[in-house]
Amino acid sequence: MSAATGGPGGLPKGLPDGMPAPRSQFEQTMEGLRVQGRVIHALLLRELQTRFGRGHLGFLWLFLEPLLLASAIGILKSLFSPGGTGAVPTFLFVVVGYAPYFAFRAIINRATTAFQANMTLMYHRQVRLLDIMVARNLLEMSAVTCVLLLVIASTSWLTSFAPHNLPTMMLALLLLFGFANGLALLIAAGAARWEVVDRIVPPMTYISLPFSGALFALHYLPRGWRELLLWNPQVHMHEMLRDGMFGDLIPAYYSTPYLLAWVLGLNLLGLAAVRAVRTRLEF
Amino acid sequence: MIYFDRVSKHYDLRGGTKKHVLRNVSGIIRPGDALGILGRNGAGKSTLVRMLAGVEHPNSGRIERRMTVSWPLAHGVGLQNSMSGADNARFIARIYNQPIKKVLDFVEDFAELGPYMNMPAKTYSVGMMGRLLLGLSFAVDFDCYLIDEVTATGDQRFVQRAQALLAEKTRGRSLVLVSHVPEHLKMYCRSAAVLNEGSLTFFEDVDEAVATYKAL
Repeated sequence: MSAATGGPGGLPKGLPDGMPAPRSQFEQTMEGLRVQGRVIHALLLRELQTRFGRGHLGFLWLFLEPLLLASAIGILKSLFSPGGTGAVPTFLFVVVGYAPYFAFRAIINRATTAFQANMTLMYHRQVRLLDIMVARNLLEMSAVTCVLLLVIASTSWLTSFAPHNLPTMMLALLLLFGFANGLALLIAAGAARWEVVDRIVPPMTYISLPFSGALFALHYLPRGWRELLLWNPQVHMHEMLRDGMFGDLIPAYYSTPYLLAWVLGLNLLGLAAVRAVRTRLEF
Repeated sequence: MIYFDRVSKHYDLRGGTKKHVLRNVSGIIRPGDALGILGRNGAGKSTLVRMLAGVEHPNSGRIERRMTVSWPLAHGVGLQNSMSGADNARFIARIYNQPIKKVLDFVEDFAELGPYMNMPAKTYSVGMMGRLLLGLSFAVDFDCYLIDEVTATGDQRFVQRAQALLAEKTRGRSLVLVSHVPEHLKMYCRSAAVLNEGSLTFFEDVDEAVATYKAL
C-alpha cells in the first residue's frame, strides 16, 4: 500500500497503531488556557495596530476619543444647567454616565461585523471566535476605564471631590464588560446567521439609550417609572457606577445578584450561540 | 499523522439545493508523506485542505490530527492585509508561541521582501505574498504543511528555494499540496491523489495520477 491510503469504504474502526495516548483532561485544559491567553494577547496588539496604526498617538486615540466626547457633553450640560444634580457636579455626573455607555455601544455595534471582518484569522486553528470578541471588548473596556480614572483623578485633584467607593465602581465596570461581552457574542453569532441582525442592532442601541439609565439617576423619577426601568439590567449597572462615584449624594437603586444573573446568563447563551454558529461559518 | 475517515461536506445553496463537495472521503497522511492532490477548479481541494487543517468542519465523518499541522497556506488568507509583513510575522510568532526575532529573521531571509517588509501586505504582489506565507509557515516549523496553490506563483528562483526548503523540512515531515497544475505536483510530491466529483482516489505514482487527471 502507498503511504497515503483510503477509499470510499472508509478506514478500519479505531485508530491506527503508534498514535500517542491522549493526555489527561487537566493538562489539556491548562494547555488550552495558555494558548487562549497567547492568542488574546496577540489579537489585542493586532487590534490596536489595525485600528490606530503604528506609532503617533496610537493607543492614545483609543481613550482620547471617548474622553473628548464625554467631556464635551459634560461641559455643554453643565453650561445649560449650572445648578448641577443636587450636590453632584453636572460634569462628573455626565461623564460617569456617558463614558461607560459609549464603550457599551461601541462593543455592541462592532459585534455585528466581528466575525466577517476576522474570517481570515480563523485559518489559524487556535484562534477562536470567542478570543476575537474578548480581545476587542477588553480593548474598549480598558479605554473607558482609563477615561474614568483620568477624569476622577483630575477632578479629585482640582475640586477635592473624591469617589465614594472605587471598588464598587470597578465591580460595576467589570459587570458592564461581562454584560456587553455576553450580548456581543449573541449578536455576533446572530449576525453570522441572519443578515438582518446587522441592520437592526445600531438603531436598537439608539432607541435603548433613554432607557439605559446612563443619562439620569433613578432617584429623580416617579416610583412607577423607577420600578419599570429596574427590569433593565443596564440601569442597574449605571446606578451601581453612580453609587460607587457619588455614594449618598444620590440614592442608588440596584441589585448586584440580578445583574450577576444577567451577566452569567448572557455569556452562557452567547458561548452556546457562538459554538453553534462556528460549524456553519463558510470561508 | 492525519487520519480522516468517511468525511463528507456539502454547502447549502440558495433555493434549498445542496452542493456536495466531498462524499465519504477517507485517508491517512503519515510522517514523511509528500502527497499531491489534483483537482479541477471547484472540485473541493481547498475545502479538503481547510478541513485537514481543522478550520472548517465536515458535515459528517471524523478527522484526527496527531501531529502539528500548518494553517492552510492559500492566497489572501491567514494574514491581515492592512498590516505590514513584519507585523504579520509578529502576530504569527505570538499565536504560534515562537520567538519573535527568530520568525522575523527567518522571513526576512526567505521571503526577500526588502523594504516591503514594512509595507502593508495589501501592496504586495501575488509572488511576494506567496513568499511571505511560506516563509512564515517555515519559520514556525510544523510536522505537516498544507499548501493550497501558493507555490504556483513563484518565479524560478522562488521555486528552487521553496523546493530546497521543502525537501529539507519534509524529511520525516509531511506535505499536502493541492493544485490544478500537474507540473507542480511533480516538483514537490512523491505520491498523489485525484479529487473528482466528491471522491478522492489515491495513486502510488504521481505520473499515474496525472494521467488519470488529464483523462477526466
